[in-house]
Amino acid sequence: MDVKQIETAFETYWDKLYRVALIMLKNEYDAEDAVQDTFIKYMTKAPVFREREHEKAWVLKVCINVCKNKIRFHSLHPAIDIDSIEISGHQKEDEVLITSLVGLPDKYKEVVLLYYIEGYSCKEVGKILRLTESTVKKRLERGRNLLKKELGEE
Amino acid sequence: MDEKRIKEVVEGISISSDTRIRILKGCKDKWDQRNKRIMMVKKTMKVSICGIIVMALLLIIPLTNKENNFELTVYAAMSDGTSGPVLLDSKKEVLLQLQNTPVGRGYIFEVTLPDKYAFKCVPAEENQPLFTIYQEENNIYWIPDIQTAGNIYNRDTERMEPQIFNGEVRLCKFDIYIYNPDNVLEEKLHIEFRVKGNECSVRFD
Repeated sequence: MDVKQIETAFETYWDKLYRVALIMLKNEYDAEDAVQDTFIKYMTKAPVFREREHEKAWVLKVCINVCKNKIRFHSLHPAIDIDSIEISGHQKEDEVLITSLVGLPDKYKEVVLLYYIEGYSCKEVGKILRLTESTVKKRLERGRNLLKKELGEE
Repeated sequence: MDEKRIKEVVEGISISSDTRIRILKGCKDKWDQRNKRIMMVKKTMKVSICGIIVMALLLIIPLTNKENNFELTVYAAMSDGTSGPVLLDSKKEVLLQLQNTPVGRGYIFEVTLPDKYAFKCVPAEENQPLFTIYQEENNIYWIPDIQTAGNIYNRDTERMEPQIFNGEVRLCKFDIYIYNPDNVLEEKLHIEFRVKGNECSVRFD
């Protein structure tokens, strides 16, 4: 794997991965660490992809797994420090939405992130997370309901 | 809930340029550390393998040399009529030459052993009348029973070479036990004498 390919991959995905890791881990330092670990895996494994989309799915999957491992092994469940996340526009509703999103259980959060933010279909999310399409749909629905509940829309 | 807002809000999370620099630097540092670790592991493995090979050689070399450390030198009669010391080889028969020993006329074996090793000569079979064995330091003296320390002289006080045996072939077997410094039996050399008339040959296994 040449340096240019690594640089291209980094510039393409680092911010996407960072946002995913930030929502998953609720901590910017852990998020940075997770993104670094993801790129280290990318450089170590040096996977070959036929399409750019496959590469994106691969790095997202690795990043989510790295985040899950961090949560599992370090019992990282601190309360969200909302001040550490700055949102453009800075509306009160956005802060509430972010707080609700990071507060979702991990299994719902990863599905919501891939579906709503990365724009994958339920089938694609299932492939990335190795879940059936119906499981993805169920988790999406439950995640959505939890978010609505948190936002007081129910 | 406007589901499109989720995407907008998450993508609206601002990330400072410092974050990018920190992540990039962290990646580089981790990659360098990983490579250093791999190099260290490879180096350690190389050193370990070399160490194991050296240790194995140190163990194997003495073992392979061990056989050579147990040497039997005999005084032999050569085919050209001369005589002299000969290293006894396994399975090779050597014609012995009678010598004057401190205990009478007989055959001399010199046993070469590593330091602090000891040996003992034992008849392999009972009732072997051919030799009396004397052991002194590194030497074994095989004195044919007819040859004694007193020797036999004729009227003219000339020393008589006695006729040891008549024409029949007689066999005589002995074992030389070799003990290591811990007094544990380490090797057993099987010696076989073949006596025909005045001629005595020997071989060992």
